[in-house]
Amino acid sequence: MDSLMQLFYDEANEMVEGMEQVLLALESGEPDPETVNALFRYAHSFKGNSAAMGFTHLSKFTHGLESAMEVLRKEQRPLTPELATLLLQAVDMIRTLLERTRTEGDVGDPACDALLQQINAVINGETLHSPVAPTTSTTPNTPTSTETTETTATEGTPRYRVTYQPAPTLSTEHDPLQLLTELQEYGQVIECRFFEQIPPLEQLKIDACYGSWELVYETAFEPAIVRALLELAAEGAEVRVEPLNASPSSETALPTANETTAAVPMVSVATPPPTETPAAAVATATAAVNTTASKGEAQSIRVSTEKIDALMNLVSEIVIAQSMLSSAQTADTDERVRAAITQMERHVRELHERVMAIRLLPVSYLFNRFPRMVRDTAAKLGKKVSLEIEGEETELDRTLLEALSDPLTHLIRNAIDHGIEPPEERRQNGKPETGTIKLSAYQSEGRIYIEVSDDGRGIDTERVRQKAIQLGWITENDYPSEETLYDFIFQPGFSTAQQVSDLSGRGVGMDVVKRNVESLGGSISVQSKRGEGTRLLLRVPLTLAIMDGLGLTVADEHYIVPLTAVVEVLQYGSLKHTALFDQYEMVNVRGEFIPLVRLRQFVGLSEAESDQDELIVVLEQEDQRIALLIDGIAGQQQVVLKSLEENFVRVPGFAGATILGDGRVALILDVSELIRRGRQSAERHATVA
Amino acid sequence: MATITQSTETKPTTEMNTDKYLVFQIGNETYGVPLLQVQEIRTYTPATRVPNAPDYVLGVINLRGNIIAVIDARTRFGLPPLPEDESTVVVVAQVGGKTFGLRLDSVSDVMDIPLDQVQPTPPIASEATQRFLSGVVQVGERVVILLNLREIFDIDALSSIAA
Repeated sequence: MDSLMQLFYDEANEMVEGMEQVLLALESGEPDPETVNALFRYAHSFKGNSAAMGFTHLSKFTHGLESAMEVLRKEQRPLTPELATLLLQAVDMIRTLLERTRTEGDVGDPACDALLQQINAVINGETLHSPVAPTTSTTPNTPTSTETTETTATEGTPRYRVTYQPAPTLSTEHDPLQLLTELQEYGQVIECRFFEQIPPLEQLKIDACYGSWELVYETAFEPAIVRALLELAAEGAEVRVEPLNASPSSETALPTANETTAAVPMVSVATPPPTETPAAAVATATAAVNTTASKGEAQSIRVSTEKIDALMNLVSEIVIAQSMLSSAQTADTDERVRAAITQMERHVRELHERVMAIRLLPVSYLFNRFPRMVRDTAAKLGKKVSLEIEGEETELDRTLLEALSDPLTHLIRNAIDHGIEPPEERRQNGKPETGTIKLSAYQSEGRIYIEVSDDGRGIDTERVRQKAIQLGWITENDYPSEETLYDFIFQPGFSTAQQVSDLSGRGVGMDVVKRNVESLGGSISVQSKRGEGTRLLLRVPLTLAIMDGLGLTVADEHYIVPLTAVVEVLQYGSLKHTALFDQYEMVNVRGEFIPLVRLRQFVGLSEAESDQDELIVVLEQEDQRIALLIDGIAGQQQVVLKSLEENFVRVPGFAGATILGDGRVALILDVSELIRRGRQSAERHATVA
Repeated sequence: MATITQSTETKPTTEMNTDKYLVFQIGNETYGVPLLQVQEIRTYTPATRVPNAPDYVLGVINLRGNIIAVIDARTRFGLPPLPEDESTVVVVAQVGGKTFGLRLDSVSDVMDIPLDQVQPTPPIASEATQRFLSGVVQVGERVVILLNLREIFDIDALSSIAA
């Protein structure tokens, strides 16, 4: 369903609920002219919305309702309970119509007009007939369920109305349900209605039966046999079997003529009054609503984000508790306990995935704010920029979306400010005057990629180099690689903008962007070509909260690395090891030389004696690999990402922390930092060479 | 103004100017921290070392699902650390919106400290540790040194943990 349609239904459901609440409030309180105004407004906007969507029947009905309300409003008449009841039915009718438009398209309901007629009649002071439908809540006799079996009636099979009132005192031998099941064997129960007449609590007898059934029953057997069957099964019960003048085309097969059985279904009255045809039609429609309404409610609901966040936190705690439970297993653990733990693990994982799915939002929620921003920023800078958006349907965790808002805003501003050239410069360079910024999102390999690219002037690497020299980061004779130069852009204090504008260029941009993205467990990379444009790629995990991790050990310490980054685990002893200049270490993994990072060194431990059992974990991110030397593997587990910054500080080299099964804390390694470390030593030595 | 003066006169001064402090022993001295800043006292559980953190940061622990840092009081004051035993505790405190733990050899008491008798710390300690102290007070026989938790945790200094 497209989003406009969904929006319509969401709003419609809210309006229906609003109308209902107003009406219900009215029942318990003083009639208030303001209520009519509120209802009028609802009907009015409903009419407009449904007309806009092309739902003629809905708009016609709500138009009628609006006109009726208009009369009330003008005359400042309070709502009578009788009218309130009818209006509640009208609300139900709107529900029916909504449900129909959803499932069948723009079809009406035959009872619409009758209901409107009735409402108008009451408003105009005509008491056409006795109150047809007392409010269900005040009626002592309310059917609580209606099941309608689709009529697959063989033409001509006689139908009967069966009224079955079990004996006032239920004896245990008779089970009404069993009886009904039996009936089904001898024929077909077309309709089954249940009526309950439950007295006030103080009069309630626990062994008494307060329910009765009314069936439309189709059977080839004689009425006498049916009656006998029922009586036999339920001693002391009151059973009536009456033949129906079945008209196969009639949907409900409930004749209105029968004096005892004209009880209007659903709206049901204890002693059914004779009813006119419109009323019956209305009531039937209402009956249909109740079965479809339950379906309609499940389509979409609005839940506050706090509730979902609370749920997610709880799931995180369950994941931790689950891993505690799993790690508490020993060789002596009972087989049944083991099985239960395994099963629970599966369920917890699924629970997590489902709650996660609830939190996912299309990235359009974020992207939609940019066209306006681009327009305003470009206008301010006297540039012409068009924004292209792609992949806005890509779904992302809500918290991530929010966290990405600032970095993206900054990147786009930068692109307009530094990337896109002024129109005349573009013209001189043979480019179209209007620059293009492309914002796209896609998912790949369990990560979300967001790309901001422009067709502007690209990054002037020479100017970056000069700036780095000026800042004392490199010397005049240093010619770092392009990638290193791009890295400088993300360093604190770096800004190449010749003029500091109020939009960007204060040198507190890109480093903050990088830090923000990294704190989300993501990374950012740049590609640029002089005169052609710049492309910034952000990679973020699908979710912040929970991820699969691989436990690594070094000495007696335990670290976690995201499983998505792990390529393979190898025996260190089996690999060819090279050390350039005694320092820059690499290992040969099937012909490919990969920089080696020693975890011991990375976490500030002294180097141990070389051990035959040491392992290599090959990690990859952004097509760059490093080999991480570790002591051992501690297994794979789901980890809940916890912030180190919340109560402590950001620790460079680590993306956060998690709580292990035994309650201890383990730090989560930041793969991009590990890779940077590996590459840095490589480059340092490459430049020396 | 009049009402304020009146109310101070009706109340006994001792009640007015005391605050509850958690007091404990480090080495031979008795120290105190405002009880209001103390969230809880826990038995010490081994902390996870944080690479490149200063030596007085023992590491991080799990406090009901939150990660908090634990600082060793002895190391912070330049004293040699003691091996932990059953009486080793972590006092969980809150300063500046952040929660952290302070490892102590033991906690001894909660005392009412008469605030008007608190004197500025005499320059006994080195300048480095001086800033951890907010005053000294004599309560009966005991001399209690009051600590400034904000300075002890010093989040700004920690923020510059090098990679």
